[in-house]
Amino acid sequence: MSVRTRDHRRRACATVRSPSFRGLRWLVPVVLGLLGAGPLDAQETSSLAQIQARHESAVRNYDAAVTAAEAQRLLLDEELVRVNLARERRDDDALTQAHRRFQAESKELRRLEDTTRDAESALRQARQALLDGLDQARLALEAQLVATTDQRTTLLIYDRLQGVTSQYQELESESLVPPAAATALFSSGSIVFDDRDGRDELLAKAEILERRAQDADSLIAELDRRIERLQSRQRLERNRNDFLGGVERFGDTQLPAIATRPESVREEGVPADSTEIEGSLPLETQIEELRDLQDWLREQRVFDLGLAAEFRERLMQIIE
Amino acid sequence: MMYDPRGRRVAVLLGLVLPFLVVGPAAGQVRLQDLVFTGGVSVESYEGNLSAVTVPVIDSTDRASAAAGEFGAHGELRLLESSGTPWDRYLSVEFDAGFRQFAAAGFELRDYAPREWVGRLDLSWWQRLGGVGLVTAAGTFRGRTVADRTPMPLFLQPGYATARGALVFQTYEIEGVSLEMSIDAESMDYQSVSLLSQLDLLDRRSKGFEVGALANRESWRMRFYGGARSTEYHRQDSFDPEDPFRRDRTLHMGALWVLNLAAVEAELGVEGTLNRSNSQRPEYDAVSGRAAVHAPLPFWDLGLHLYTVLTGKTYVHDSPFVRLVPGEEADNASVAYIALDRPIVRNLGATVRFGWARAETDVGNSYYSRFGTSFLLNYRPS
Repeated sequence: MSVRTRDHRRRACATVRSPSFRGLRWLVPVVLGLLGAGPLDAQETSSLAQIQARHESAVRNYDAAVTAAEAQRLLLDEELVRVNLARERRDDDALTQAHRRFQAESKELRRLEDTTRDAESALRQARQALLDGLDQARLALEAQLVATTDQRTTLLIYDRLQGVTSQYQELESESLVPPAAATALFSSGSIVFDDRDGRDELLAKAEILERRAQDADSLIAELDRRIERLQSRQRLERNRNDFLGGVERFGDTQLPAIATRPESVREEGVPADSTEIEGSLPLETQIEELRDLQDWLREQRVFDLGLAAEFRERLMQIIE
Repeated sequence: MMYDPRGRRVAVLLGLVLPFLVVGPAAGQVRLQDLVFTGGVSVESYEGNLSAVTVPVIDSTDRASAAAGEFGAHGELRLLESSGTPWDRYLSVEFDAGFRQFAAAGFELRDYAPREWVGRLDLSWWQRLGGVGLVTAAGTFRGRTVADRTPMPLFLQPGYATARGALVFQTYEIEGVSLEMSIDAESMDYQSVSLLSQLDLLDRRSKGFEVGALANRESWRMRFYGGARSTEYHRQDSFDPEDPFRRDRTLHMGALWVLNLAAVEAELGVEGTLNRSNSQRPEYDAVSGRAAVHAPLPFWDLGLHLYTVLTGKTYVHDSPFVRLVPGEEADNASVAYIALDRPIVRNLGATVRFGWARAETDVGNSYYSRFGTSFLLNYRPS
């Protein structure tokens, strides 16, 4: 099996977790490790534990806000259906009521989206604070590692240093916005023009579309960051494969004392769980899918902005 | 001039099979992945004073040099790929082919112009088995042919064709550790030519098994493994009238640690081997260590690659005659490669590579060594 095939198998066995689970999972060893007979002093440990608690709380808030906003979008979608039904039936009373409810739910969605943005901002801050805290802990552990002469303490410090380092790396590589958020953003269906739309309706629809375009911008930027990370990884793997493939192609490394045995499975990956499947896609496919998602978001954004401009133009005509 | 018709046939066969696979009937589902073309030049120097029974002529020089140009292509065909279920499957064919032309100088007899053709085909199928684990079946076919092979010390492997099949089963993690078992069989056929029938002595059939345990963490993994192998050299004499052909039994065990960060990969491995045979000549104990690093550098968009293998080997019995076939059974062999790469334009990258290799016999302290510098361009059409 070649290096490339092994990469794919390793990726196939990668662990995939939900954002909230990620937030809790790494907390356990950190707290257990640092609250134990820790090499860090009590003040540092306490401070880090507080930062972690704040981060955990921020993760919970963010998850709750995203869930609430998604539920509200579904509700808004239902209201939109009611508006259209009333319009088709030419039931003015029902249409007026449906419009009111739609506007009320729109306001609520706006509020929830503001809450989500605030929660996201808070989570970013909490994450950065935790990254700083873990970095400080790492520096402190490294200093203690240099200072200590006791072998047992050295091993203990080294063990915790590894824990802190790996948690830092994991946290750093996490992303706030899953790709599913992109599709959820546009799950409220199409917003269309109606001849009977008044000033309020036109303004509300234009604002919904413009806000959605703004959200799409944020998601596109987040996807850019994700793609960049994947491309960086892809580049490393490709360069590594090119290098190893180049030196192995003509058998130059196959000196006999190191090739008495055919290439074994020594570099295979670890199957972690039969249900952990999302990460099985090759890097090329993951990048491709994210790009497709970006393209789709851009198209939606352009469409929404164009439609919003039309609504505003109509609004101006009504005002004039 | 040497000519290996079987090796040429293998190369031609690969050339014929690959285009068929690319445009085969399942073209709607087949994806050509990571196609890369490589071209480059090298300057190499060789030193050594041993002769080789598998090389047709002997030259008295201790030092030779060569310039070489090479072309290569690599790609992967994803024939089947499914994800999202506990029964995911994946089937791929990976191919690699290359051509290298040398212009060698420094020999007493004449200047040589050896030419190598190489080809490799890897078929790999893996499948999840519900909640149990992952099973992999793999087949590898490899062939090479060499024309105008030089005397030592410019060692080029002779032409051969080899086929290998392997079956691997890996469990899902149990307490953070995955277990694995594999069996494999290999056939290797060296291509003798007229006046050099001794290459056939290297023909072999082997089969083996291996078990291992793998601990996987966020940023690193550690693997311990061990196994046994049975190899039959049906053209080699064992010097035992009751058991006339050489049969080796090999035990191996080792450990490999791999660090896998977002932008850095590193590995350290050690492996011990005990080889016992019905012929005393090839019985040996060996230890090899290897290290590799792949990482981006913080300036000029450079990437660094380092790969080293160091091997020590001792024979169980003293022998009054040359017991090794240089290049195929060297006493100890070490290689080190370091490379720097960087992108030049979109889809095109350049690599500067330095390589060193040394293989030594245990008779008369004879050895050959090689030092080379290469400049390579890698082009990916997409």
